[in-house]
Amino acid sequence: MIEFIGVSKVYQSQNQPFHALHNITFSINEKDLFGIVGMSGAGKSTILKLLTGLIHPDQGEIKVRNQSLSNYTELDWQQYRRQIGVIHQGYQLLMQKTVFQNIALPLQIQGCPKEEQYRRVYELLNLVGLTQKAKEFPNHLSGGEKQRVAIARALANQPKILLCDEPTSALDLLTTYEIVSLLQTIHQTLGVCIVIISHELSLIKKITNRFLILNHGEIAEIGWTHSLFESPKSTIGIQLMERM
Amino acid sequence: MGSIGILLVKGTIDTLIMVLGSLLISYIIGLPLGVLLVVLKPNGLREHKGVYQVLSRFINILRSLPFIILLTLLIPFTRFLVGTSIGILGMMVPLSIAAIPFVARMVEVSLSEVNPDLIASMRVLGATPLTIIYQVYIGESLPSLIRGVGITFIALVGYSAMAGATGGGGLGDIAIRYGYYNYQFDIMIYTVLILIFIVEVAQYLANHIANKWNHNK
Repeated sequence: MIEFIGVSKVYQSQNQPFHALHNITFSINEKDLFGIVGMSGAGKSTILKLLTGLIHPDQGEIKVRNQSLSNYTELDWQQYRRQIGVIHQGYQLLMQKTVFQNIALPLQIQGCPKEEQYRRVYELLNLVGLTQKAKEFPNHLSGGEKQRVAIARALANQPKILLCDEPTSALDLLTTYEIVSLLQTIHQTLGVCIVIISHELSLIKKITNRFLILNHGEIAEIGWTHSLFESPKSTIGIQLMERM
Repeated sequence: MGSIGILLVKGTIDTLIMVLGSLLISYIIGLPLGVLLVVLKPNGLREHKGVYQVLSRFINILRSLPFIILLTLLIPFTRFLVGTSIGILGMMVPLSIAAIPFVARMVEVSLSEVNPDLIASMRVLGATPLTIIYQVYIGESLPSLIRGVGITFIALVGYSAMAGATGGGGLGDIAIRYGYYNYQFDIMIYTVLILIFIVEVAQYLANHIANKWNHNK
Protein backbone atom coordinates (compact mmCIF):
# COMPACT_ATOMS: atom_id res chain seq x y z
CA MET A 1 0.00 0.00 0.00
CA ILE A 2 2.69 2.51 1.08
CA GLU A 3 6.39 2.09 0.34
CA PHE A 4 9.30 4.27 1.39
CA ILE A 5 12.44 3.30 -0.55
CA GLY A 6 15.68 4.89 0.67
CA VAL A 7 13.98 8.17 1.50
CA SER A 8 16.01 11.08 2.88
CA LYS A 9 14.91 14.59 3.75
CA VAL A 10 17.13 17.47 4.82
CA TYR A 11 15.80 20.80 6.10
CA GLN A 12 17.87 23.95 5.88
CA SER A 13 17.53 25.66 9.21
CA GLN A 14 19.53 28.87 9.65
CA ASN A 15 21.99 27.63 7.00
CA GLN A 16 22.56 24.48 9.05
CA PRO A 17 21.33 21.28 7.39
CA PHE A 18 19.05 19.18 9.58
CA HIS A 19 18.67 15.55 8.54
CA ALA A 20 15.01 14.85 9.32
CA LEU A 21 15.02 11.45 7.58
CA HIS A 22 18.05 9.46 6.54
CA ASN A 23 17.73 6.69 3.97
CA ILE A 24 14.63 5.03 5.41
CA THR A 25 12.98 2.02 3.79
CA PHE A 26 9.77 0.42 5.02
CA SER A 27 6.37 -0.61 3.75
CA ILE A 28 2.83 -0.55 5.12
CA ASN A 29 0.33 -3.18 4.03
CA GLU A 30 -3.25 -2.66 2.97
CA LYS A 31 -4.70 -4.28 6.10
CA ASP A 32 -2.32 -2.61 8.54
CA LEU A 33 -3.17 -0.40 11.42
CA PHE A 34 0.35 0.95 11.46
CA GLY A 35 2.07 3.10 14.07
CA ILE A 36 5.03 5.45 13.78
CA VAL A 37 6.62 6.34 17.10
CA GLY A 38 9.55 8.47 18.13
CA MET A 39 10.68 11.36 20.28
CA SER A 40 10.20 14.97 19.17
CA GLY A 41 12.34 15.69 16.13
CA ALA A 42 12.65 12.00 15.22
CA GLY A 43 11.09 12.61 11.81
CA LYS A 44 7.49 11.44 12.40
CA SER A 45 5.76 14.52 11.01
CA THR A 46 8.18 14.61 8.07
CA ILE A 47 6.80 11.22 7.01
CA LEU A 48 3.26 12.61 7.11
CA LYS A 49 4.24 15.73 5.16
CA LEU A 50 5.98 13.57 2.54
CA LEU A 51 2.93 11.34 2.22
CA THR A 52 0.65 14.33 1.72
CA GLY A 53 2.99 16.09 -0.69
CA LEU A 54 3.50 19.17 1.45
CA ILE A 55 7.22 18.48 1.11
CA HIS A 56 9.18 16.22 -1.23
CA PRO A 57 12.07 13.82 -0.54
CA ASP A 58 15.64 14.85 -1.37
CA GLN A 59 16.50 11.25 -2.11
CA GLY A 60 14.63 8.00 -2.57
CA GLU A 61 11.14 7.19 -3.70
CA ILE A 62 7.70 6.96 -2.13
CA LYS A 63 5.06 4.71 -3.67
CA VAL A 64 1.39 4.65 -2.75
CA ARG A 65 -0.76 1.89 -4.23
CA ASN A 66 2.15 1.02 -6.54
CA GLN A 67 2.31 4.56 -7.95
CA SER A 68 5.42 6.66 -7.45
CA LEU A 69 4.74 10.13 -6.04
CA SER A 70 7.99 11.46 -7.54
CA ASN A 71 6.74 12.92 -10.79
CA TYR A 72 3.35 14.19 -9.67
CA THR A 73 2.22 17.52 -11.05
CA GLU A 74 0.17 19.91 -8.88
CA LEU A 75 -2.97 18.51 -10.51
CA ASP A 76 -1.88 14.91 -9.79
CA TRP A 77 -1.32 15.90 -6.16
CA GLN A 78 -4.79 17.42 -5.94
CA GLN A 79 -6.31 14.20 -7.26
CA TYR A 80 -4.13 11.96 -5.09
CA ARG A 81 -4.93 13.97 -1.97
CA ARG A 82 -8.63 13.45 -2.56
CA GLN A 83 -8.00 9.70 -2.14
CA ILE A 84 -6.33 9.90 1.25
CA GLY A 85 -7.79 11.02 4.56
CA VAL A 86 -5.74 13.00 7.04
CA ILE A 87 -6.46 13.75 10.68
CA HIS A 88 -4.24 16.64 11.66
CA GLN A 89 -2.83 17.56 15.00
CA GLY A 90 -5.07 20.27 16.50
CA TYR A 91 -8.17 19.21 14.46
CA GLN A 92 -7.77 21.95 11.78
CA LEU A 93 -11.50 22.54 11.39
CA LEU A 94 -12.97 25.66 9.79
CA MET A 95 -14.32 27.56 12.78
CA GLN A 96 -16.76 29.72 10.79
CA LYS A 97 -18.45 26.67 9.28
CA THR A 98 -20.85 24.22 10.89
CA VAL A 99 -20.03 20.58 11.59
CA PHE A 100 -22.06 19.64 8.49
CA GLN A 101 -20.20 22.15 6.28
CA ASN A 102 -16.82 20.97 7.59
CA ILE A 103 -17.54 17.34 6.76
CA ALA A 104 -19.07 18.24 3.40
CA LEU A 105 -16.02 20.28 2.35
CA PRO A 106 -13.99 17.42 0.77
CA LEU A 107 -17.13 16.34 -1.11
CA GLN A 108 -17.71 19.89 -2.29
CA ILE A 109 -14.07 20.10 -3.44
CA GLN A 110 -14.60 16.92 -5.42
CA GLY A 111 -17.72 18.37 -7.07
CA CYS A 112 -20.11 15.89 -5.48
CA PRO A 113 -23.84 16.69 -6.05
CA LYS A 114 -25.70 18.35 -3.13
CA GLU A 115 -28.03 15.38 -2.39
CA GLU A 116 -25.08 13.00 -2.36
CA GLN A 117 -23.20 15.37 -0.02
CA TYR A 118 -26.17 15.41 2.35
CA ARG A 119 -26.53 11.62 2.34
CA ARG A 120 -22.81 11.01 2.85
CA VAL A 121 -22.39 13.62 5.61
CA TYR A 122 -25.28 12.14 7.63
CA GLU A 123 -23.86 8.64 7.09
CA LEU A 124 -20.53 9.87 8.54
CA LEU A 125 -22.19 11.80 11.36
CA ASN A 126 -23.95 8.59 12.27
CA LEU A 127 -20.65 6.69 12.18
CA VAL A 128 -18.92 9.13 14.53
CA GLY A 129 -22.04 9.59 16.72
CA LEU A 130 -22.58 13.31 16.07
CA THR A 131 -25.89 13.39 14.18
CA GLN A 132 -27.35 15.83 16.70
CA LYS A 133 -24.45 18.27 16.28
CA ALA A 134 -24.69 18.79 12.50
CA LYS A 135 -25.65 22.46 12.80
CA GLU A 136 -23.26 23.33 15.64
CA PHE A 137 -20.07 25.30 15.12
CA PRO A 138 -16.76 23.62 16.13
CA ASN A 139 -16.14 26.10 18.94
CA HIS A 140 -19.19 24.75 20.76
CA LEU A 141 -17.86 21.18 20.71
CA SER A 142 -15.62 19.32 23.17
CA GLY A 143 -12.13 18.18 22.14
CA GLY A 144 -13.35 14.64 21.51
CA GLU A 145 -16.26 15.87 19.41
CA LYS A 146 -13.95 18.08 17.34
CA GLN A 147 -11.72 15.08 16.71
CA ARG A 148 -14.76 13.05 15.64
CA VAL A 149 -15.65 15.78 13.14
CA ALA A 150 -12.05 15.71 11.87
CA ILE A 151 -12.28 11.91 11.48
CA ALA A 152 -15.61 12.18 9.65
CA ARG A 153 -14.17 14.85 7.32
CA ALA A 154 -11.11 12.67 6.64
CA LEU A 155 -13.41 9.78 5.69
CA ALA A 156 -15.74 11.82 3.48
CA ASN A 157 -14.05 10.82 0.21
CA GLN A 158 -14.02 7.14 1.18
CA PRO A 159 -10.21 7.02 1.31
CA LYS A 160 -8.22 3.79 1.25
CA ILE A 161 -5.61 5.32 3.57
CA LEU A 162 -6.22 7.32 6.74
CA LEU A 163 -3.22 9.21 8.13
CA CYS A 164 -3.54 10.34 11.75
CA ASP A 165 -1.07 12.82 13.24
CA GLU A 166 -1.12 12.62 17.05
CA PRO A 167 -4.89 11.95 17.03
CA THR A 168 -5.28 11.81 20.81
CA SER A 169 -2.55 14.12 22.10
CA ALA A 170 -5.01 16.84 23.19
CA LEU A 171 -7.61 14.49 24.66
CA ASP A 172 -8.29 13.09 28.12
CA LEU A 173 -8.06 9.37 28.87
CA LEU A 174 -11.73 8.56 28.41
CA THR A 175 -12.02 10.49 25.13
CA THR A 176 -8.78 8.90 23.92
CA TYR A 177 -10.37 5.50 24.55
CA GLU A 178 -13.46 6.53 22.54
CA ILE A 179 -11.36 7.75 19.61
CA VAL A 180 -9.23 4.58 19.69
CA SER A 181 -12.33 2.41 19.53
CA LEU A 182 -13.75 4.58 16.71
CA LEU A 183 -10.54 4.19 14.67
CA GLN A 184 -10.63 0.42 15.25
CA THR A 185 -14.25 0.29 14.07
CA ILE A 186 -13.33 2.27 10.95
CA HIS A 187 -10.41 -0.08 10.27
CA GLN A 188 -12.56 -3.18 10.65
CA THR A 189 -15.79 -2.07 9.02
CA LEU A 190 -14.47 0.13 6.20
CA GLY A 191 -11.22 -1.76 5.60
CA VAL A 192 -9.20 1.45 5.61
CA CYS A 193 -5.41 1.25 6.06
CA ILE A 194 -4.66 3.49 9.05
CA VAL A 195 -1.31 5.07 9.84
CA ILE A 196 -0.98 6.63 13.28
CA ILE A 197 1.84 8.98 14.13
CA SER A 198 2.21 9.40 17.85
CA HIS A 199 4.58 9.80 20.75
CA GLU A 200 2.12 7.96 23.01
CA LEU A 201 3.27 4.34 23.24
CA SER A 202 0.13 3.30 25.11
CA LEU A 203 -1.97 4.36 22.11
CA ILE A 204 0.29 2.46 19.71
CA LYS A 205 0.13 -0.65 21.91
CA LYS A 206 -3.65 -0.50 22.15
CA ILE A 207 -4.45 0.07 18.51
CA THR A 208 -1.75 -0.95 16.00
CA ASN A 209 -0.78 -4.35 14.63
CA ARG A 210 2.64 -3.17 13.37
CA PHE A 211 4.76 -0.15 14.13
CA LEU A 212 8.15 1.38 13.63
CA ILE A 213 10.32 3.39 15.98
CA LEU A 214 12.10 6.39 14.53
CA ASN A 215 15.22 7.81 16.08
CA HIS A 216 17.05 10.86 14.70
CA GLY A 217 15.58 10.27 11.25
CA GLU A 218 16.47 6.58 11.08
CA ILE A 219 14.43 3.44 11.69
CA ALA A 220 15.51 1.98 15.01
CA GLU A 221 13.06 -0.92 14.87
CA ILE A 222 10.08 -2.15 12.88
CA GLY A 223 7.82 -5.14 13.46
CA TRP A 224 4.68 -6.61 14.98
CA THR A 225 3.36 -4.61 17.90
CA HIS A 226 3.13 -7.51 20.38
CA SER A 227 6.69 -8.74 19.71
CA LEU A 228 8.22 -5.25 19.80
CA PHE A 229 6.57 -4.56 23.14
CA GLU A 230 7.66 -7.95 24.49
CA SER A 231 11.29 -7.73 23.47
CA PRO A 232 12.49 -4.40 22.07
CA LYS A 233 16.00 -4.71 20.63
CA SER A 234 17.10 -1.11 19.99
CA THR A 235 18.33 1.16 22.76
CA ILE A 236 15.63 3.75 21.97
CA GLY A 237 13.01 0.97 21.93
CA ILE A 238 14.08 -0.23 25.38
CA GLN A 239 14.13 3.39 26.67
CA LEU A 240 10.63 4.08 25.33
CA MET A 241 9.18 0.86 26.80
CA GLU A 242 10.71 1.64 30.18
CA ARG A 243 9.05 5.06 30.19
CA MET A 244 5.60 3.59 29.60
CA MET B 1 -37.01 72.43 8.61
CA GLY B 2 -35.02 75.67 8.45
CA SER B 3 -32.42 76.52 5.84
CA ILE B 4 -29.60 75.35 8.14
CA GLY B 5 -31.40 72.02 8.55
CA ILE B 6 -31.78 71.59 4.79
CA LEU B 7 -28.13 72.52 4.31
CA LEU B 8 -26.98 69.96 6.88
CA VAL B 9 -29.22 67.18 5.52
CA LYS B 10 -27.92 67.80 1.99
CA GLY B 11 -24.35 67.90 3.28
CA THR B 12 -24.85 64.63 5.15
CA ILE B 13 -26.32 62.93 2.09
CA ASP B 14 -23.45 64.20 -0.07
CA THR B 15 -20.88 62.95 2.45
CA LEU B 16 -22.56 59.55 2.63
CA ILE B 17 -22.69 59.22 -1.17
CA MET B 18 -19.01 60.20 -1.44
CA VAL B 19 -17.91 57.85 1.33
CA LEU B 20 -20.08 54.85 0.39
CA GLY B 21 -19.22 55.19 -3.32
CA SER B 22 -15.49 55.37 -2.59
CA LEU B 23 -15.79 52.52 -0.09
CA LEU B 24 -17.39 50.31 -2.74
CA ILE B 25 -14.79 51.16 -5.40
CA SER B 26 -11.88 50.77 -2.96
CA TYR B 27 -13.10 47.28 -1.97
CA ILE B 28 -13.71 46.21 -5.57
CA ILE B 29 -10.01 46.88 -6.25
CA GLY B 30 -8.45 46.66 -2.76
CA LEU B 31 -9.91 43.28 -1.75
CA PRO B 32 -8.43 41.31 -4.67
CA LEU B 33 -5.19 43.26 -4.22
CA GLY B 34 -5.04 42.25 -0.53
CA VAL B 35 -5.75 38.63 -1.45
CA LEU B 36 -3.00 38.80 -4.08
CA LEU B 37 -0.53 40.08 -1.47
CA VAL B 38 -1.28 37.10 0.81
CA VAL B 39 -1.07 34.61 -2.05
CA LEU B 40 2.24 35.99 -3.34
CA LYS B 41 3.99 36.68 -0.04
CA PRO B 42 6.72 34.33 1.26
CA ASN B 43 5.14 30.96 2.16
CA GLY B 44 1.93 32.00 0.38
CA LEU B 45 -0.10 29.75 -1.90
CA ARG B 46 1.79 31.01 -4.97
CA GLU B 47 4.88 32.59 -3.46
CA HIS B 48 6.53 35.16 -5.75
CA LYS B 49 8.99 37.39 -3.97
CA GLY B 50 9.54 39.81 -6.90
CA VAL B 51 5.89 40.61 -7.68
CA TYR B 52 5.07 40.75 -3.95
CA GLN B 53 7.85 43.27 -3.32
CA VAL B 54 6.78 45.49 -6.24
CA LEU B 55 3.11 45.43 -5.14
CA SER B 56 4.00 45.98 -1.51
CA ARG B 57 6.27 48.95 -2.30
CA PHE B 58 3.64 50.49 -4.57
CA ILE B 59 1.07 50.24 -1.79
CA ASN B 60 3.51 51.77 0.70
CA ILE B 61 4.20 54.69 -1.63
CA LEU B 62 0.48 55.41 -2.09
CA ARG B 63 -0.12 55.11 1.66
CA SER B 64 2.73 57.44 2.56
CA LEU B 65 1.29 60.34 0.54
CA PRO B 66 -0.77 62.73 2.68
CA PHE B 67 -4.33 62.78 1.35
CA ILE B 68 -4.36 66.50 0.60
CA ILE B 69 -1.24 66.10 -1.59
CA LEU B 70 -2.62 62.99 -3.32
CA LEU B 71 -5.82 64.91 -4.01
CA THR B 72 -3.87 67.71 -5.71
CA LEU B 73 -1.60 65.33 -7.62
CA LEU B 74 -4.59 63.46 -8.96
CA ILE B 75 -6.47 66.50 -10.32
CA PRO B 76 -5.49 65.92 -14.00
CA PHE B 77 -6.21 62.20 -13.71
CA THR B 78 -9.57 62.85 -12.00
CA ARG B 79 -10.53 65.35 -14.73
CA PHE B 80 -9.56 62.83 -17.38
CA LEU B 81 -11.55 60.06 -15.71
CA VAL B 82 -14.79 61.80 -14.67
CA GLY B 83 -14.57 65.18 -16.40
CA THR B 84 -14.32 67.25 -13.21
CA SER B 85 -12.10 67.50 -10.17
CA ILE B 86 -14.70 69.02 -7.84
CA GLY B 87 -18.03 67.93 -6.42
CA ILE B 88 -19.03 64.47 -5.30
CA LEU B 89 -17.87 62.72 -8.47
CA GLY B 90 -14.59 64.61 -8.56
CA MET B 91 -13.84 63.67 -4.97
CA MET B 92 -14.74 60.01 -5.29
CA VAL B 93 -11.67 59.40 -7.47
CA PRO B 94 -8.98 60.58 -4.98
CA LEU B 95 -10.97 59.13 -2.07
CA SER B 96 -11.05 55.70 -3.74
CA ILE B 97 -7.38 55.86 -4.72
CA ALA B 98 -6.43 56.84 -1.17
CA ALA B 99 -8.49 53.98 0.26
CA ILE B 100 -7.40 51.19 -2.14
CA PRO B 101 -3.91 50.64 -0.59
CA PHE B 102 -5.42 51.05 2.88
CA VAL B 103 -8.00 48.32 2.11
CA ALA B 104 -5.38 46.06 0.48
CA ARG B 105 -3.16 46.25 3.57
CA MET B 106 -6.07 45.66 5.93
CA VAL B 107 -7.27 42.67 3.92
CA GLU B 108 -3.69 41.33 3.92
CA VAL B 109 -3.51 41.65 7.72
CA SER B 110 -6.93 39.98 8.22
CA LEU B 111 -6.11 37.08 5.91
CA SER B 112 -2.67 36.61 7.42
CA GLU B 113 -4.32 35.84 10.77
CA VAL B 114 -5.60 32.53 9.34
CA ASN B 115 -3.66 29.61 10.83
CA PRO B 116 -1.10 28.36 8.23
CA ASP B 117 -1.73 24.76 9.40
CA LEU B 118 -5.36 25.19 8.37
CA ILE B 119 -4.22 26.21 4.87
CA ALA B 120 -1.92 23.17 4.74
CA SER B 121 -4.78 20.90 5.86
CA MET B 122 -6.99 22.27 3.07
CA ARG B 123 -4.25 21.66 0.51
CA VAL B 124 -4.07 18.10 1.81
CA LEU B 125 -7.83 17.80 1.25
CA GLY B 126 -7.11 18.48 -2.43
CA ALA B 127 -8.53 22.01 -2.43
CA THR B 128 -7.54 24.27 -5.33
CA PRO B 129 -5.94 27.66 -4.52
CA LEU B 130 -9.23 29.38 -5.43
CA THR B 131 -11.18 27.20 -2.99
CA ILE B 132 -8.61 27.91 -0.28
CA ILE B 133 -8.88 31.67 -0.92
CA TYR B 134 -12.67 31.66 -0.85
CA GLN B 135 -13.44 29.03 1.79
CA VAL B 136 -10.51 29.43 4.15
CA TYR B 137 -8.85 32.82 3.80
CA ILE B 138 -12.00 34.86 3.25
CA GLY B 139 -14.44 32.53 5.03
CA GLU B 140 -12.39 32.26 8.22
CA SER B 141 -11.42 35.91 8.42
CA LEU B 142 -14.85 37.32 7.57
CA PRO B 143 -15.42 38.94 11.01
CA SER B 144 -12.04 40.64 10.78
CA LEU B 145 -12.76 41.76 7.19
CA ILE B 146 -16.08 43.27 8.30
CA ARG B 147 -14.33 45.22 11.06
CA GLY B 148 -11.94 46.42 8.36
CA VAL B 149 -14.87 47.78 6.34
CA GLY B 150 -15.91 49.80 9.40
CA ILE B 151 -12.41 51.17 9.89
CA THR B 152 -12.11 52.12 6.19
CA PHE B 153 -15.52 53.81 6.25
CA ILE B 154 -14.47 55.91 9.23
CA ALA B 155 -11.12 56.81 7.61
CA LEU B 156 -13.02 57.85 4.48
CA VAL B 157 -15.36 60.06 6.51
CA GLY B 158 -12.25 61.90 7.74
CA TYR B 159 -10.80 62.15 4.23
CA SER B 160 -14.14 63.31 2.83
CA ALA B 161 -14.27 66.20 5.28
CA MET B 162 -10.82 67.21 4.07
CA ALA B 163 -11.91 66.78 0.46
CA GLY B 164 -14.98 68.90 1.18
CA ALA B 165 -12.77 71.79 2.21
CA THR B 166 -11.17 71.79 -1.23
CA GLY B 167 -14.38 71.88 -3.25
CA GLY B 168 -15.72 68.42 -2.68
CA GLY B 169 -18.99 69.35 -1.05
CA GLY B 170 -20.56 67.51 1.88
CA LEU B 171 -20.18 68.23 5.57
CA GLY B 172 -16.51 69.26 5.35
CA ASP B 173 -17.39 71.95 2.83
CA ILE B 174 -20.23 73.27 5.05
CA ALA B 175 -18.03 73.29 8.16
CA ILE B 176 -15.30 75.31 6.43
CA ARG B 177 -17.48 77.59 4.32
CA TYR B 178 -20.13 78.49 6.88
CA GLY B 179 -18.43 77.67 10.16
CA TYR B 180 -14.88 78.87 9.56
CA TYR B 181 -15.06 81.57 6.85
CA ASN B 182 -18.46 83.03 7.94
CA TYR B 183 -17.89 82.62 11.71
CA GLN B 184 -21.10 80.55 12.06
CA PHE B 185 -19.66 78.32 14.75
CA ASP B 186 -23.05 76.72 15.47
CA ILE B 187 -22.95 75.18 11.95
CA MET B 188 -19.42 73.97 12.58
CA ILE B 189 -20.58 72.32 15.83
CA TYR B 190 -23.55 70.71 14.06
CA THR B 191 -21.37 69.24 11.33
CA VAL B 192 -18.95 67.89 13.93
CA LEU B 193 -21.86 66.32 15.83
CA ILE B 194 -23.20 64.72 12.64
CA LEU B 195 -19.74 63.38 11.78
CA ILE B 196 -19.40 61.93 15.29
CA PHE B 197 -22.84 60.33 14.93
CA ILE B 198 -21.96 58.80 11.52
CA VAL B 199 -18.70 57.40 12.91
CA GLU B 200 -20.41 55.96 16.01
CA VAL B 201 -23.13 54.28 13.93
CA ALA B 202 -20.57 52.86 11.48
CA GLN B 203 -18.42 51.49 14.29
CA TYR B 204 -21.43 49.99 16.06
CA LEU B 205 -22.73 48.34 12.88
CA ALA B 206 -19.33 46.93 11.91
CA ASN B 207 -18.78 45.47 15.39
CA HIS B 208 -22.32 44.14 15.61
CA ILE B 209 -22.23 42.39 12.21
CA ALA B 210 -18.70 41.07 12.80
CA ASN B 211 -19.73 39.61 16.18
CA LYS B 212 -22.86 38.10 14.72
CA TRP B 213 -20.87 36.36 12.01
CA ASN B 214 -18.05 35.29 14.29
CA HIS B 215 -18.67 31.67 15.29
CA ASN B 216 -15.21 31.27 16.79
CA LYS B 217 -15.98 32.82 20.19
